[in-house]
Amino acid sequence: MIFVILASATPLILAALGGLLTERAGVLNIALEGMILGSAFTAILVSSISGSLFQGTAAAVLAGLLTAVVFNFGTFTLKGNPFITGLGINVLIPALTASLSQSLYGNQGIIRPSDMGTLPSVGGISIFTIAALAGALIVLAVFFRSGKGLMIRSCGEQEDLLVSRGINPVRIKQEMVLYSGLFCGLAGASLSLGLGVYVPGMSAGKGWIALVAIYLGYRRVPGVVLACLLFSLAEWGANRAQGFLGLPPTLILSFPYFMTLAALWLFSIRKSRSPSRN
Amino acid sequence: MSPAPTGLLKIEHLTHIFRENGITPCSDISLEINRGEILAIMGENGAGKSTLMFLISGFMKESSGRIITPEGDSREARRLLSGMVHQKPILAGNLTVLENMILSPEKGFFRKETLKQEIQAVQKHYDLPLDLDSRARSLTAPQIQRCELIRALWKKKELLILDEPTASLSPTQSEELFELIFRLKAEGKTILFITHKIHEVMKIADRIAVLRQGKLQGTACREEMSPAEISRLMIGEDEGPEYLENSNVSSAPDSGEMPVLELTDIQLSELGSPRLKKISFQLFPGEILGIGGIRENGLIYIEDLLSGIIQPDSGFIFINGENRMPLTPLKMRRSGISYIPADRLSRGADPESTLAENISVLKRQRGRGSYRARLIQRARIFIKEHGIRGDAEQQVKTLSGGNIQKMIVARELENRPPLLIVSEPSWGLDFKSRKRLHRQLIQAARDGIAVLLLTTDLDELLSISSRVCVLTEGVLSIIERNEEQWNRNYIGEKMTGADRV
Repeated sequence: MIFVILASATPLILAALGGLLTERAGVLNIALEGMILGSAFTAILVSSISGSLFQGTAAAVLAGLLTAVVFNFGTFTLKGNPFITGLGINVLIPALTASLSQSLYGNQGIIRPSDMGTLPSVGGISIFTIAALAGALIVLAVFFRSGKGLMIRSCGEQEDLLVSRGINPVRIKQEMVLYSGLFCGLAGASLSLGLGVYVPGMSAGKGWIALVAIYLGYRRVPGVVLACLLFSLAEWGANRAQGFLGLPPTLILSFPYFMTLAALWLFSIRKSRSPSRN
Repeated sequence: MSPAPTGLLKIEHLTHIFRENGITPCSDISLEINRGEILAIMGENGAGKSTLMFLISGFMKESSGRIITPEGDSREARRLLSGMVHQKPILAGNLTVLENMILSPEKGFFRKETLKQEIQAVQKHYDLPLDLDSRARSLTAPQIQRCELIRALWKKKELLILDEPTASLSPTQSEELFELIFRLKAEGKTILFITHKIHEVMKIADRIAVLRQGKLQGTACREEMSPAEISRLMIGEDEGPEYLENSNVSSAPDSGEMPVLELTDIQLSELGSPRLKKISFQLFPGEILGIGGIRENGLIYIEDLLSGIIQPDSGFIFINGENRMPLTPLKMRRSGISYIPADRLSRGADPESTLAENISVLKRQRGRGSYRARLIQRARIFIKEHGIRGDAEQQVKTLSGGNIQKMIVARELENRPPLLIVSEPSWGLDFKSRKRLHRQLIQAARDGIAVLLLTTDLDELLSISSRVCVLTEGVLSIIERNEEQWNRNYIGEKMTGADRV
């Protein structure tokens, strides 16, 4: 059960870490969803062509980075609204993958290459899961023990401080968007390569859930990881409950999302009740 | 005398123009700063002092001209040379004090304990206690200042820039700061000290540079310049004595008259420590009741209490004889009370909105035609009437501090409120605006408005109040209008009895 939950939490944790980096730097990256989906598609595509899972993963990371470049271009170079830019990306990617899929495979549906290998794993834990947990530790160390971490954390709070110390806050933000692209690339790869199949819309709101996990986890690494695990636990529970609860399966499957919503409510109620004096 | 001074910094024809609004806060300034001197930069609000310092410290980029340091004229060189203690705090509140100090362009991993010990050694050397592990968000204004000062000393900055450092300090704290400044000078540091308090300059400066409207009016050694001369250079015209006479002695309130505001036995504690202890006072129409004290030590709680933002643990607030507990901001406004807050940019105005929107925020505009057009038209008239320098459609954040305050004061006085709560009204205001404001407050009282003045500025307190109280360690004591009590020293001592840090 733990392995199952960890496996399903892996893409969430990866995406949430990427989102956390931008969030702490003061950019709300809502393009996580699109980044994940594009990377998942690229991972399957390149793996099936090259026959190498590693190359597929590398390509997925590149796809994530490319999406991040588009986000940066829209947000910082053209000075567009980051929210709109992100939404644009989220709308663009599914359409783009569908049309690529149409021209390459002749359909817009499920892509299941026949000769997919299995992901390497250590003691039953996928390499991506290990990467996600290691990533959490690395982000934690960077946040609190490195100069870069201080820059990221102050960037979202007080840009003037960075300027006064000779650091360009916009560059930090751009860099963090790129890192979130990298993390989402891994998230996408772990999603599709883990199953050996690409399904349109397979990110299934994971990018959004990751955003929620960031706030639910109080914008702290351990909290964010826990929130991702909690969501995966709910997902697992919902899958199991389909078998014996006499409820419509679609309703049961929506349980994790309800739970997320409820958690957000609780979070905001707690927050507004806690005494805030500046 | 010391040996012939050597130059540390040379400023040549420095001009800065804000691209957004075309304002020129610094125009063609040439100035030389000597090694090891204390140079006071004086000027009114908006004279360009802060901008000049931002340029020197490398925070802003000049439009034209040069600033030459021994290491060249790049922004980087200036940044390395100077350490600035900002007037407006720019610490990141989510970081600890230590992390705020460490932050620099260096990206790699750091050894927290080593750095901490280094900084603690500096703190010990200069006797500047401050908890390095507390969040910057929880610091008081003097502590924020101290944090930036410690960093500059730790980084061994040769040039220390202090932007109005005494504005948020009590008299004793200012004395301590002056002692430190003298000590740093003896160690060979160069200090730029920005202020508009002449008595401070006469005490500590070696040289004085006066700015007015972005232009350097002159520099001179302290001995060569008299206070009258400085003030003339700063203001440009003779404005008479700085303070109004104590002309505002109102007749003692009739015993039968109903107080506009009455507080009875207000108690308030925060995080377990008592902040206000059995505070009671009455305020009658036509008088200015001044309450002096140290801000963090209690004035801020009275302000928050009366504006309905916090609630007391016990006690009552009566407005026009009616019990208005629990007081909320809405109830306060509904009772017609006007409020000029100390925190202008978050409570007094919305910096992101336009001047017109800020002016009409308390009023619904009725009438025919486009709402926006009426709003702007009314604002234009208002701006003209009150001599605010700005346009109706200009964002408030682009105005100078003095003009923002002018707008707030005019807005709050417009409807002749029965009661006006004023907190630190002249913070950051220059001489002329300050005088104008004091005249407005006195006039308001003459018109029958009850004015409650909360201020840390003793001169202001004594020059315009009809009655004065001082808040010390949460206890309110009345100052008698007599020779012994009605003066700076007595009140200062009274206030600082509660002093900490």
